[in-house]
Amino acid sequence: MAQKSVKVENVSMMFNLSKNKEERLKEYVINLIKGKLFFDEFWALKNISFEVEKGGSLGLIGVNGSGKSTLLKLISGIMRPTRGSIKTVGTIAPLIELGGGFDASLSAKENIFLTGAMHGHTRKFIQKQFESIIEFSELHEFVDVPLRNYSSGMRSRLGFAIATLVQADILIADEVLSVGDIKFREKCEKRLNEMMTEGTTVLFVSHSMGQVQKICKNALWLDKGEMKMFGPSKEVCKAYEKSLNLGNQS
Amino acid sequence: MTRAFQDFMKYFNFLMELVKRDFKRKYYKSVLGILWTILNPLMMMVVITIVFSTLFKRNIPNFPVYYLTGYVIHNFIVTTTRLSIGSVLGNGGLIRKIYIPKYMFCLSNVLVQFITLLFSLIPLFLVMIVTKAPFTKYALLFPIPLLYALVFTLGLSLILSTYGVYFRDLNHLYGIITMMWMYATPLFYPISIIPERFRFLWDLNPNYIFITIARNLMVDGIMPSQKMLIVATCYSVITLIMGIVVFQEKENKFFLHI
Repeated sequence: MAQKSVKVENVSMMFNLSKNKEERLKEYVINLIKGKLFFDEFWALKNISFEVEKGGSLGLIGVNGSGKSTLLKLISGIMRPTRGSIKTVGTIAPLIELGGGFDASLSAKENIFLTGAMHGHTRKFIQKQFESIIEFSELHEFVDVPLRNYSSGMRSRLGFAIATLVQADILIADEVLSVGDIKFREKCEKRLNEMMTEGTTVLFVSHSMGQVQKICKNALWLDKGEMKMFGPSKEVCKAYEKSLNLGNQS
Repeated sequence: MTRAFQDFMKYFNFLMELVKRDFKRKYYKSVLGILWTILNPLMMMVVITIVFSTLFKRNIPNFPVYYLTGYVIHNFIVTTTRLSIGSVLGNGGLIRKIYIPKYMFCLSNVLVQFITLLFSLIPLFLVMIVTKAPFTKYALLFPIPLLYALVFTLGLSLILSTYGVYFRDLNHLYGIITMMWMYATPLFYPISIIPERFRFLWDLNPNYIFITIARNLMVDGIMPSQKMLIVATCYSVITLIMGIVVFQEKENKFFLHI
């Protein structure tokens, strides 16, 4: 049996949707006195269980608000699940969409070191990968330019290059391939495939069924926080598209 | 415990990068840059000396040194804690996207400010030389009060950065508290002007204890009393423990409020 890389067991996630968000001390005290600290429970995920093998890939699909990003955040350790357990083996590199972790006032070079450190790498290791990151993102001339002067395409190229070249065991990609031109997108897909053969597990969120089918072996369809379907990506994508079309007609 | 230590080691490089970034941001597009750290205490000293030195001439022999010793330490504590309120909140974008031990943001702020404090010791030594203040062997113990201030500040920063996430108006409230705190700390007046029966209020002020120890070493050239040292240790260590407890309890819920 192949080694498991990600194991999600009966995971549920509950959020408190506070009716009146107490962000001010004054309001908090007043509400406390009035006894008005009510919350609405909202279950973003209900009883999710699945496994991904090492070097495998899983596409997450579903309409907006179905819990895809929440699930990825739980797996990457940003949040803890309300119930259930998540086990991951090895390091996790979240592919931050559009380089959200970047600092606009720093140059690409400084951002590479900062982001690399954010993923828990040593300076020496990043130094070693530096050339290939620049190479991949095709940003030779702009290494010392502050990121505020970058276009969004350049930023996402840099983000993708950093996350994929730091050799993580699990790569989390949340709608990242929707940016960039076709040429770069193809390059990214190629790189993802390379990584998977090297043993990296890829978790992939996309609204493009074509991409999911191309990159992922398996797919998970989430609907309002529940598992609607889990299986080979082709079948799941087909069923999902069918349901979308039905929804459009009615 | 070992887990926490491993985590710290893994993200130690991140802490260093963060400190570097914060430094760069602090002096971004400023002409004099780090020189401000040296100029700022000197200018404050000149102003305060002009205003108050004649008033307290009899009680304070070397007013500039007396003021500066207190000012650099008090200023470090107040500035760092004020900035710490937004230290976690300001990095909310990162916290929502990637797992990083959240205390790193708080710690990096404290470290940046502590390095600034070390730079602001340059004007203190300069003024001591210019005013021909005597350097005694006790001046070598000056790192001790700095360490107290560092530990105390880290603890208070952890508490404030936690509640800064929950209550956005903590910043405004803290502005008023720090003003009161400044007047309640004998920066430019001698403690002897406070009536004996109110003195206990000043003993409750950790900053007063820290700067008194610093002044004993730098201005008076004597060993601080044992009682002072014990009280200072208690203040700083207890604050740090409280900070760690509060922060740990709440940090997993941060992302819901950022």
